[in-house]
Amino acid sequence: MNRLASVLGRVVLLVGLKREDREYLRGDLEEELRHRLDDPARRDAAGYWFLSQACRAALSRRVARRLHSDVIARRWSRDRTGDGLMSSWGQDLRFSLRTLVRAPGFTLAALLTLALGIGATATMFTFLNGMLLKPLPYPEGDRLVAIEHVSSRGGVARANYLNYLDWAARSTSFESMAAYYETSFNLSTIAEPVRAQGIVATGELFRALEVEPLMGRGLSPADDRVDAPRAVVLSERVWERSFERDPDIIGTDVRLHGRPYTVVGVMPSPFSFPETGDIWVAARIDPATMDRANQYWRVVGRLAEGVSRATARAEMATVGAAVAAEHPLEHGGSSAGVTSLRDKVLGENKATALLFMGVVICVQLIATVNVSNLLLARATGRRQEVAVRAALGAGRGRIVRWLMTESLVLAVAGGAAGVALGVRGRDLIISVVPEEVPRWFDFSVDYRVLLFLVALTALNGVVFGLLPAMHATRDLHAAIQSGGQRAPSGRLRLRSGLVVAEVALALMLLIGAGLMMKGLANFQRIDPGLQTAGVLTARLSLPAATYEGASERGAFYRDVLERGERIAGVESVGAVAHLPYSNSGSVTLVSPEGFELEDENARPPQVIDNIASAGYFETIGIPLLQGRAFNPTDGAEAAERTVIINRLAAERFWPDESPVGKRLKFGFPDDESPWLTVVGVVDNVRHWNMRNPAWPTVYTPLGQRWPTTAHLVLRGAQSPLALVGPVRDAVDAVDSDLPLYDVSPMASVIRASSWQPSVFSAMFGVFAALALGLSSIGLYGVVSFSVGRRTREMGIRRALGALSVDVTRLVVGDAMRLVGIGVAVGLVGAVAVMGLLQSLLNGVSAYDASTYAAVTLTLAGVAFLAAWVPGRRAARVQPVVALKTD
Amino acid sequence: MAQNLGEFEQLILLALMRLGDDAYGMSVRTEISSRTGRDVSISAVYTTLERLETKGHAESYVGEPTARRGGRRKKHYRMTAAGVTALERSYQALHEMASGLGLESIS
Repeated sequence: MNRLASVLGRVVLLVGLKREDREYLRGDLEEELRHRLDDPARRDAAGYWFLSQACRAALSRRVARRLHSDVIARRWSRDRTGDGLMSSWGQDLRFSLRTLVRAPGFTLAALLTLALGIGATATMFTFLNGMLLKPLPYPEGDRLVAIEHVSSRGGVARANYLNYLDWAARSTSFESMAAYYETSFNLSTIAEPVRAQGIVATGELFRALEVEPLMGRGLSPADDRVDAPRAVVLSERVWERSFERDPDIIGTDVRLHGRPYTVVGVMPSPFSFPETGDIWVAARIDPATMDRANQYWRVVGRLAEGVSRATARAEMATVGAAVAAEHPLEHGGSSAGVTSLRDKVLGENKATALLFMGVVICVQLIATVNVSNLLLARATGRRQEVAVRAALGAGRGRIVRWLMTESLVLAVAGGAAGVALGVRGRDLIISVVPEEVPRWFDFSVDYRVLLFLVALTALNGVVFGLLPAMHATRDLHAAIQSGGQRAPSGRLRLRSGLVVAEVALALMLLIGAGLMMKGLANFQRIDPGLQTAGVLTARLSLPAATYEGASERGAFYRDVLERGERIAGVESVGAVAHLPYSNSGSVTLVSPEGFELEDENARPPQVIDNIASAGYFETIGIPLLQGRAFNPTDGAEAAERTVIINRLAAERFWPDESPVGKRLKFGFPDDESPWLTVVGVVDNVRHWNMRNPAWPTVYTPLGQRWPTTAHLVLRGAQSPLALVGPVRDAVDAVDSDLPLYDVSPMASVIRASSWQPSVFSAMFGVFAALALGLSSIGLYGVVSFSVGRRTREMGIRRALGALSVDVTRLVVGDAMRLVGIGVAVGLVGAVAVMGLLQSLLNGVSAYDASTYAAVTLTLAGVAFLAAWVPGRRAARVQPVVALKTD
Repeated sequence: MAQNLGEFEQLILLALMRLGDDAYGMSVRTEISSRTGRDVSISAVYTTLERLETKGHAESYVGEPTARRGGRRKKHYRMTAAGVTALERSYQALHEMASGLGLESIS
């Protein structure tokens, strides 16, 4: 133990002592240690004694030297040779802290600016990191790709099952390829039936994803055979929520959509596939029963070792085209495309995140420029101090280092505050985005975020510190001669340049924000086409096992709608297959009577195919324009098959006449399907979401068709939430195994599908306001500073007869010249980059002249105020006072 | 104006007087701790010696390296005339202030 302690002691001495002490002091300690080791009475404690002396020496020798003023004076000169670099860093550090504390106004302004800039950047970076940099929750997740059907016109679509089989068989770029489609399951045989998202997949899926199960096994190709027993794999989340982590879950039976399935495995969190899936079952498909035309499958593939996406893309283009060429009727001219799975999931979110990263970088730049400006002003005030230090023998490098230490201290403190702000900002944004965050993406702060922020902070410190420091020390000789009275003339030019940059950046951000706001206003004027007040919606899905035919489903709907009407406070009730704005919809072809195809390859018009009950239009508030609404006699037994179409379909199919009484059929004109008579026309609804235009729509009455999945719609006099309990009871009374899901007021359904414009423009607005505020402060600082320097000049002007108005005009005029240059640069920049925003603007042009003009005027107004305040101060200076300064 | 000596400075100067040519960091430390029973750290001794040197009360010279010190040299200290004067003055002051208080019985 003595040995260990003495070795430790030597390390401490080596690290902790300065060269001189390492010679004499350590020599003394070594000598004494030997004495003690030779002395039997003191031998045992000798090592510890040595270690404790070493520690005390290392600590106190460093501190003691600093307290010695004459030693410090010596070091200031000695450091020109670079001696004692590390120890003087510490000294600079303590000195900086002291001076910063002594100037609380400056320090606070600089810290606040930095914290806001770094905070904004940190917020956006955690999102970018989560989306783009963190690995997907699969081994080598970046080898996973989505393979899609590419139509002859270049659009991407879901794939056909038989095409998928051909693709997999004929391509060589993939280790494995699996097809799946998303669905949701009613999971029962547990206390409360729940609705869970999941997928039906081919047996290759788990082989492609390569994730080890927590318990049991994943699905295998054996599970995918037609005669295989029904097997299900659950996520850890479902296992925990619905089965309370039952350790004996493997092998138990659960009911999905009324059919028994055996649990064969549990997947560990955060695994999910796709982004929010919790339940996986095998497709068990007999290819012979599949049709070549249906396209509802998604395909995921794992690239073989060493195969690039580009190679796979080229191969699939060929393979896809070859497969399509064999089935010209269904897929003529189409092909297959390859996209990285990550990009597929991110979609347009990637572009949005990058856009906002660009925005916050602008804010960050303005913040940096501002702090740089503050430091420049401060450096000018310290001219004298610099001169004294230079006169005492400090070299330029030494003084720059001293000034840099101060800016680094600021940067680190500002960065720390910024990280705290950034985490808040991230939570705020997550809380206002109503969509479920895909479980693939983890927005926690990890080493990448920290590394990025450390780099950003350091860069900040260097950038905003170096300029002022270099400037302050540019001509030390002259500084010494003038005793620090004269400042080099270039400094004001530099500060002016920084102001121009700030104004230009701020103008660009403001124009962006202005365009977004205008887009938002456009968006909010959009009429959703229905009445949301008092409307509650809920969704249910009838399992095929218990609701096999039309009669069972019909009985169920009739019973539920009847019970719904009897609920106290309910004014009307309806049911619809696809509720607007709920991500639910079905598209089909329709041929109006008399419609003829232009040529062989042409298709009849596409419409949304919806099914509505008699009370649906009245309940959800879609106005009836012509004819009549459905009534109970429009059922299956009625002699005449009836439909209602929307205004758009009416205008398109029968532009000049009333459509009531006209006939149409689903499919091609010569299809066998029955003719349907139009009995009414309702107004348009933008079915998909508020940003997309309405589609022509055909509503079939509930009764002629009974959908397996439908939305219940109830309108009450009071808050829709009051109806939640009674509706659940009503459905429970008909079928207690049936979960009611997506229970939500209609207003929330719309909000969930259209949150982007308001959230994005609010974010943009906050960042732009930040930019405007920061750059106004910057301008104010520069003008105040120059007024301060020109007090004497102003006094002379006043003494020679200039009016105070003239002085103000002079000051403000100078400032506005800078603003003018900044505005010109900013406008050019805005025109160059605003095109990037176009997709977020809801129809407003990215070059909307009125927005540009209004924003420029606003900025000029704020800038004028920022210059006018110090300008007024300059004008109030009495000539005598001014002449007496200096 | 001559500065007054601190207590620890006085102890160190006294140790230098006692040790004569054999005075260096560790011997000073040992001398003080064996006579007063105080556990003095070697670094405190060095710091004070340096301070005394800058004040002009002590001076140092460097000796030869020895094997027992791992080949390191030894820094010797000795008192200057100014140091003797300062110590005498301090001791005198202490003596004056203490006289008649019955404290002498301790020694």
